[in-house]
Amino acid sequence: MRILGHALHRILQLSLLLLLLVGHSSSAQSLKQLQTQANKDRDGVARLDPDLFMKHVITEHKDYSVVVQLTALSPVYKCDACKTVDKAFRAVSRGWKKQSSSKDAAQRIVFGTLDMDDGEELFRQMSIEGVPQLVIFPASKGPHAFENPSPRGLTLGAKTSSPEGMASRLGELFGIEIKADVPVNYSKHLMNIATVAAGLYAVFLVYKYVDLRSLGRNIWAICTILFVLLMTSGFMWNRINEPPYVGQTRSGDPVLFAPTNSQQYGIETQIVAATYAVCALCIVALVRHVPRIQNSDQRTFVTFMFTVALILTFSYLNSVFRMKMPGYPFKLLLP
Amino acid sequence: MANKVLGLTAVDQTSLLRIAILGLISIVAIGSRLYSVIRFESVIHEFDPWFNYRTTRYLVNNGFDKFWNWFDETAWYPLGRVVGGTVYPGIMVTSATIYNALHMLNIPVDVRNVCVFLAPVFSAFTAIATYKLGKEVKNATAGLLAAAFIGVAPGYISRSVAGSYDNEGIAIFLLVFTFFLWLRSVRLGSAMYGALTAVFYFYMVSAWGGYVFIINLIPLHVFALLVMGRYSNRLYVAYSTFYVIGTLASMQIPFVGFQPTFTSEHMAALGTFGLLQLVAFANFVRTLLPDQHFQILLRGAVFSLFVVGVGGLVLLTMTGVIAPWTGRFYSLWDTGYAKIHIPIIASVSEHQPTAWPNFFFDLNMLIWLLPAGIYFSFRELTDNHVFLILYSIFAAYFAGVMVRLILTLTPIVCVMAGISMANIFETFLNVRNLPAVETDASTDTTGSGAAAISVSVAEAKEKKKTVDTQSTSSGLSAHTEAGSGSKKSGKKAKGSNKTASKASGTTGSKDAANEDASTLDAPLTAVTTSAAAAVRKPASKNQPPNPAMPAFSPKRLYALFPKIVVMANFLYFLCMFQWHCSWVTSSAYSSPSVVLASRSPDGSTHIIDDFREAYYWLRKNTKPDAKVLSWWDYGYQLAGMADRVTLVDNNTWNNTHIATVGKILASDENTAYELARRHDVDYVLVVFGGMIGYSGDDINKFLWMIRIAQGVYPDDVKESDFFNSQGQYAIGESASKTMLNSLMHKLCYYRFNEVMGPQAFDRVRKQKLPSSVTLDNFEEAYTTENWMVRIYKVKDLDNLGRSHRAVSVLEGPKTSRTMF
Amino acid sequence: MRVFASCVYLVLGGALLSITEAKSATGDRVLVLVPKAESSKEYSQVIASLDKRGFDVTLAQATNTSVSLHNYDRRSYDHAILLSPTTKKFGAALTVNDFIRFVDDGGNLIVAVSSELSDFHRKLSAQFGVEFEKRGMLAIDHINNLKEGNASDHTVIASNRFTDIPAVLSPQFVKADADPVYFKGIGHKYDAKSPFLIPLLAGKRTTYSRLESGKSNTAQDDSSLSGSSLGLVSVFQARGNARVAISGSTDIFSNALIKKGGSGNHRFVDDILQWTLQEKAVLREVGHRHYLTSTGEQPEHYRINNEILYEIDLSEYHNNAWHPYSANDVQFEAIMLDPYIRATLNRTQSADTKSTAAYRGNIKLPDRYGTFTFRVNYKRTGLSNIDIKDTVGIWPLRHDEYPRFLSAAYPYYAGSFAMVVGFLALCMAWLWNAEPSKKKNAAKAKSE
Repeated sequence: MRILGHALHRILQLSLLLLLLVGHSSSAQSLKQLQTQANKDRDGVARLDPDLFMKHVITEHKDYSVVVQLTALSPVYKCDACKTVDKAFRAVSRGWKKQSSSKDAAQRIVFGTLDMDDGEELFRQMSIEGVPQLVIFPASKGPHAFENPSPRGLTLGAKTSSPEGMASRLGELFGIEIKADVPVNYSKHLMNIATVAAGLYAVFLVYKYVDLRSLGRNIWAICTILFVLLMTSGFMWNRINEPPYVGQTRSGDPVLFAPTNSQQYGIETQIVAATYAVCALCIVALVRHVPRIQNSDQRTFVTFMFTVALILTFSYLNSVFRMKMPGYPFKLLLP
Repeated sequence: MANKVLGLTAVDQTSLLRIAILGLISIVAIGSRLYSVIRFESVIHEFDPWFNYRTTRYLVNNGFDKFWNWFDETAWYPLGRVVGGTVYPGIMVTSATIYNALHMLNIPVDVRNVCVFLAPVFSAFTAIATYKLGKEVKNATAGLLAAAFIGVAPGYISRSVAGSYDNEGIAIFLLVFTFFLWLRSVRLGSAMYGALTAVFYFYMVSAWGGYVFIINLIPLHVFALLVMGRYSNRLYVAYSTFYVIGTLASMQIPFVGFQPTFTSEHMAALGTFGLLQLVAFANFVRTLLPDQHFQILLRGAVFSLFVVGVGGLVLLTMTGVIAPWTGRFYSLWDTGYAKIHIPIIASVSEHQPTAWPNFFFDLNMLIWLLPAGIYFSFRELTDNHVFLILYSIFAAYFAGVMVRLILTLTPIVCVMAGISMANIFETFLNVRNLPAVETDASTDTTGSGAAAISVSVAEAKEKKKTVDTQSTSSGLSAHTEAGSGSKKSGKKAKGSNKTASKASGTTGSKDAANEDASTLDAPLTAVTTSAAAAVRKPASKNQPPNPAMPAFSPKRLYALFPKIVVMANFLYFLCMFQWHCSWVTSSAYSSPSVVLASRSPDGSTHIIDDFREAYYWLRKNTKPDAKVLSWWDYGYQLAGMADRVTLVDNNTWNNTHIATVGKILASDENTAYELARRHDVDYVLVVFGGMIGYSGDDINKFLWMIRIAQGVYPDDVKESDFFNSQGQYAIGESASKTMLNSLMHKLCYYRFNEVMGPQAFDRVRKQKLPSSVTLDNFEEAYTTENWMVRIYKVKDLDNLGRSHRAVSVLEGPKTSRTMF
Repeated sequence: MRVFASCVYLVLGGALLSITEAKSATGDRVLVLVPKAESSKEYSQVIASLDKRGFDVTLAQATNTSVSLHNYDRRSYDHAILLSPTTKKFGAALTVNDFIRFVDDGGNLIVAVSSELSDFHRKLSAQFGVEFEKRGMLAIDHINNLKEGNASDHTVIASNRFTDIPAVLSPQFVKADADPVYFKGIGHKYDAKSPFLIPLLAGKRTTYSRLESGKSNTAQDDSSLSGSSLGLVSVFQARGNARVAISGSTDIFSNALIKKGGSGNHRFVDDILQWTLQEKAVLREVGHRHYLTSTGEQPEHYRINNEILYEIDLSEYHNNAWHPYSANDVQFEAIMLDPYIRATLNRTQSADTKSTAAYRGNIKLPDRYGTFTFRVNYKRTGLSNIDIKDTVGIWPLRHDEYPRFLSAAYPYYAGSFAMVVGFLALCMAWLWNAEPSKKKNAAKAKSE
């Protein structure tokens, strides 16, 4: 946010400077240039270079608005955010292209992208530290002029990085409705339908041929227990809050357990589920397996083995809990 | 007789012990919930309880008829609230009944105390209900263990400590007991138990919105049984009775009304009911058709019907014929839903998903006894166990999604844990005929010894009876028939044992004793063995002594050793569990957030009583019909303690109204003033923790207020405006303009630096304060000892129609009337 | 609650009746502040008329330190007349706030200034939305002025541009060619938007405002004010019905101008005094009640769609007595955030007393429950405000008040009874038709 603010400031300076340097070309033709540039691209996104940018985007007097995406798409930079944002951006642009061609062409918005590769020094001038960014250069005159035509940034949250989110945000910014054009993913739908059908058929098969009461029972048992283990070890929390899979210390070596008891890492649930499972297993073994053993010495040994296993696992669980919850008074073997 | 102690046979002794143990469990259950009363006083806790308490008082004073038609003008001003129709009256009626009963017995007890101690008392009932449930699904051992567990499990204590006078307090008891009755009615197929289930279901409906869980779980159970081909007339009788009576009864609660006929939550039950009728009819048809033809017909029909039913349900819901799922319920299924759509739900902390420490915190070792229990239930898969398994699955899922729903998970966890523990005990506390452990083991597969032994008998007995049922129902019902039969025969065995022990020395007395002993409960094995030994002695006269028998031979000790170790281990676990529970209860769940306690360095506790101070001030110093505006969290307390008119309260039924309040607090002084005047607000109450570092204050809740307001007034309130240029939610100098001008900010920090000095900073936010806060349209009326609650008066319009700003400029700084 | 209220009305009524001996509806203690003791002669006419009308007038020098408006936080006077424009410091350090408080407590105030007014007056009158011209400026009119003697500077202007408010001004001023009022003093800018302020007398088209002749009059000293935007005399009524009159000229109260023949001054000053000192155009609500039409009782709360009667008694004070106030625009409102009902109350001659007029309305309550405010908010320019509010709860129907046996539901009734009958019939059939051997099947079939 701060970065962006700073950048905007710089952009303003630049634009002023530019006013002094280049006399502004008539907005009509500069719009034309931009649009020709835009039409080169099938998504209607004008690929800008510093020259275009300077001339036609950062001009005070223009009766069209430009939405510029500052990004670094080339794989060199390994910027995943850029890719997602770019995807959304292009979807929105496509949508706008459709829309403007059909009805409301009066409001003139041009979508442009400025890539690190094309405008590196420009980036430096504007002292942009973070990509991707979305900057809007609103029209300063004409029917759709903004009262405050200074360029403004669009914070790219989780929501605004999705095509719909970005479209709606831009829409309310320009006070019109912008629809993103998201390509319908038929294969996905087909897949879903197929899976559902397959699932139903599988259920049917199971029901028809497998004897649920003997073999089936074990399968069911395993599934159920796994499910319950997942649920009781905070799986849903992960699904909703999407924490990192593993934590990291400053020095960068992994941390398995989040220090507070209101947080948890992805791996944490798995470990915990495992410990639960082991404990349960010991119980089951003690009850079902041990008495079956004929040889009494062997039986004694196995009994001890499982008991010890149980104690150790539980105390491990306990110590982890102590770590997560300082001041928990009880401990078992392990600190 | 030899085997009599105090003139009681073994059976009587066990039942006596059982009662004694249950009694003790109840005492522990009640006792462990009294921390808050001992530490603070007998006071109603938190927020919702205050509403329940207030309504209970109304009920006690004005009688049921008035209560039923009560329209509360003092809540949700000026909309008002139809209390009679928007409340689950179960808990109020319960405590009012208790109150009246006590007074009829000339025991002059205060309503408040009835309310405070209601939950603990019901927790004792819960323990007993859980015992019945455990006994129903396994045996008395499991039952007692389960009871012991739920008596102290923090997961349940969290909602049932003395003073937390809330629906859950009695609802959990009803939940468990309803399930117990349901299982029994399914096992016996008796319409009476079905009806009883319905009655308690009705009670549950009247007590808690969680009844939806029952009305979805039981049909699911039925459906599962049908799919497993376990249809039986018993199931038919039980469910039909339950559903018809239960639904009709539940519709008598105004708040529920006709929902059972059209909302999606209740459709499953309806569908299952229809399905069951069809299946019953199908079975009837089957008696007229050759078998192999029929099989195909049936399966096909069941599935197609199911698909059609679900499809229809979805369709109807989509077309809006059936009311769409209510928000809270939605947030259970589509986990992302609440976060995006319903801030009012997302804002409540107890609606957040559950991290694993919560589970361990609330259930400790039980949580890993649950899977074991599930496994054991799968071993012996009677109808009851199917139910238990379904219950665990769903409860686990819901508990995972919402913290508060650990509550519904706790009972099943306790039962499952009870089952696993019982298995352990039966295996390792069984010190009879050691070499013959294998037989025990083998019998364990089919549940308690008695069942196994008498299955054959039972089959023999049941042959005639089962003939027709077998013809109607598929093969497995026979097994359960046998199971139920076995119980009968088990009883018979006991009976025979009595006679046998009278005529001791007869053959058959031995296995009678065995049967007897094995039907008894593990914790009592000491007794039973003594009894068994007592029976055995005379028997051993005319039989050669068993080589393994001689007492305390080293061999026997050696054989005993592992068992002793295991038992010692588990006993220690149990102790740890108990410690854990009491620690959690005392440290986490026993503070009535109305009164706070802070521990000063020298260890002495210092009671912070600002809330009641403020409410009492309002009660004593304002007009009886003064309207007090505050965030909805404090609505119930205001109504209950200050007895003043509130705009919004914890019953969040009108989002718009709440949003309006949020808007008032979030907008600048003049806008706020206009809105406040429009709503006839006399006083504004804010909770502020910056002075003593109380983090649960309004500034921290402010973001939610903004979000909720934004949801309704997107043009007037914008969340982004409240973040400063660094994009952080700050207060004081670094805060954004909108934040500084917002009413909430002004009311909280007005004259704060006067008391904290120039370099004052907020003890919660740890940030520098704004240098000066001006206030024109509102004047400070009262601020509590620790500045936790601040009350402001909304100024009247100026007599000369000048703006308050101008007036205060003319009159210069006013000397405030707060007292310190 | 209601009982209590009515008691209050009784007491109030009694009190008011007892003081109707006096001229004013609100009391008869008048404080007149003059610059110097002898200057009272100048205003003898006004003072005499007040005396004659039964006020007890306290004449005091403005700077006299013993003068105070309040005594132990109670008003010591009911009316105050300020005739000393130049005074900077009144009595024992009376501040502007003291005067404001005086007005807030219901005291009436007349402020008369001249072109040499002190900042105190400027500040005070600013509180009422009146902004005087710069010190030393005068309202001047070269066409309409006092044509006599050596009045060449045209500072005694004649204006008959009155704001036509019958409540304040007597009818003779209403007509277009009314006798002008001679005015000598400073004009002011009045806040035209203020609902409290009435610019009673404003300048004619040819009137403008400039520094007195002799003083240097540079361009920037000219004020933009002229014509009707140049207020001369304005009156003000506060929310609490206290009344204030502000005149840019002390002279119109002086004998000299009052005596002027062919002018409306005498009448005009009289009107101002009478109105400001609450001798006329004073409204009050004597009592109001609302009750169910059916029972005639007032329940503690109504139910939705109830038929109720709302009654209110109004009376107006003029010529020393309370008379029935008659109007056709008295409105009743039932408000919950927004008005749900707005109905005009009709005068019912029958219920009139000699001092009150009764207004009544048949009202059907809305089909909406909640806490409503019954409000009669009667505000008319020049008349004192009446704003009566009662908060009333409107409850939903009781569980047994809903209509039963709807004709639309007869099929359902029929259905359920048919069900019952059928069930009984079936039971009997099974009980008596099954042969012993078939008992089982019977039992089974029954469970289908």
